[in-house]
Amino acid sequence: MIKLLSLKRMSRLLFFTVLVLMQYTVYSQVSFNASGSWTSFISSNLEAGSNFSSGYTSSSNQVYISATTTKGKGKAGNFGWNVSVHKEDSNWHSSLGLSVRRTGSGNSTSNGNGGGLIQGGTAFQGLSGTTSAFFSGKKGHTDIPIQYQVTGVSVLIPSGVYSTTVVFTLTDQ
Amino acid sequence: MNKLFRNTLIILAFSTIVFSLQAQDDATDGHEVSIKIPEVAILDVEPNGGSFTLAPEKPEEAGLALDFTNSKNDDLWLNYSSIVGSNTDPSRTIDVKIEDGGAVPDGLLLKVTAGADNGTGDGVMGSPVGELTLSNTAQKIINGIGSCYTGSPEKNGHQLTYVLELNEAAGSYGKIDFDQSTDIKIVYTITE
Repeated sequence: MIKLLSLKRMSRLLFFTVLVLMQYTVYSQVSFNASGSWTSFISSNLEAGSNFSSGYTSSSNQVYISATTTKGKGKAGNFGWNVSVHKEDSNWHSSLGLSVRRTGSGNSTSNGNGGGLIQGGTAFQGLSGTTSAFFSGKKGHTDIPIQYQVTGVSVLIPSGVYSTTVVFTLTDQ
Repeated sequence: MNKLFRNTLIILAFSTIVFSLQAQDDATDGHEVSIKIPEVAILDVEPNGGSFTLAPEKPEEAGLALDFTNSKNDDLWLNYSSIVGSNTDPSRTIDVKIEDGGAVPDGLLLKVTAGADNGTGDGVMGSPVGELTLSNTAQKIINGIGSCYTGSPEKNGHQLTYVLELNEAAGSYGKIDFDQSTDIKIVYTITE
């Protein structure tokens, strides 16, 4: 009987211990997803002798980002995160400039729990190969809309397709 | 023991769910942005729809020939925008001809000269070849056009100067016929 009770207690203890460990694992999770892409077709319909318009802007929700971090429980964290951004050129022309901005806050996934702040990144900022801060937030946000702008488009650039990959990185605060 | 077994199963099941969730996303994601620059080869003669009349002046003194001194016009300008492809179309040319069916009156020559680009645009402008005598056969008037734009409308690009002259060939004056006064159309084409 004594032995059976010990087993029961051990079983419960093990169960709750593992659950707590799992909870810690879950609350440490950083989740990030970017969906969509942008291909800008510059119209060849222009007046003879004239140049293209220099700047072209994507739709205000060309790409969506979802970001969540549940870090905080059991640690000193504050559920905060930062998003940084850079680009990795594959076939890009040096005369072209690419900028990005956040046009909304998306949907907070922490309704009823104080909501999540999101700030910064609402003005166009140029992208380079060096990572730079974009915006920051707390708790979970899905479908954060992202807009792009390309500058430097000119008839002086040979015809062709120029591509780059925009990389977003989420880090815990 | 049964509870221990049951709890172990529950733990394993939760663990599987957790690992599945963690596999969905990570802290870095990206996507491609592509800009497509089209091929462009367009030209225009400005002012749009511009036309002019060239006519030699009557002699003021009996016994003199027609005076061609003022039989010229330089009101028109050639504008173009071009984007070449470095591999497929590295440069362009502009040809000029008298539209099929048109003809300069007998005994006369119609010549055209494209001036140098006046520098209001940017890029690799073409080089004019100099004076040409127009006919129904296309001739290159500007060579070596790269990716560029001349600016628009008149006073931009290449100024066109037309001159009507007496053909210097023997017997030309005798072929002049005032019934041959005619309208002709000059056609410019940029290669694609």
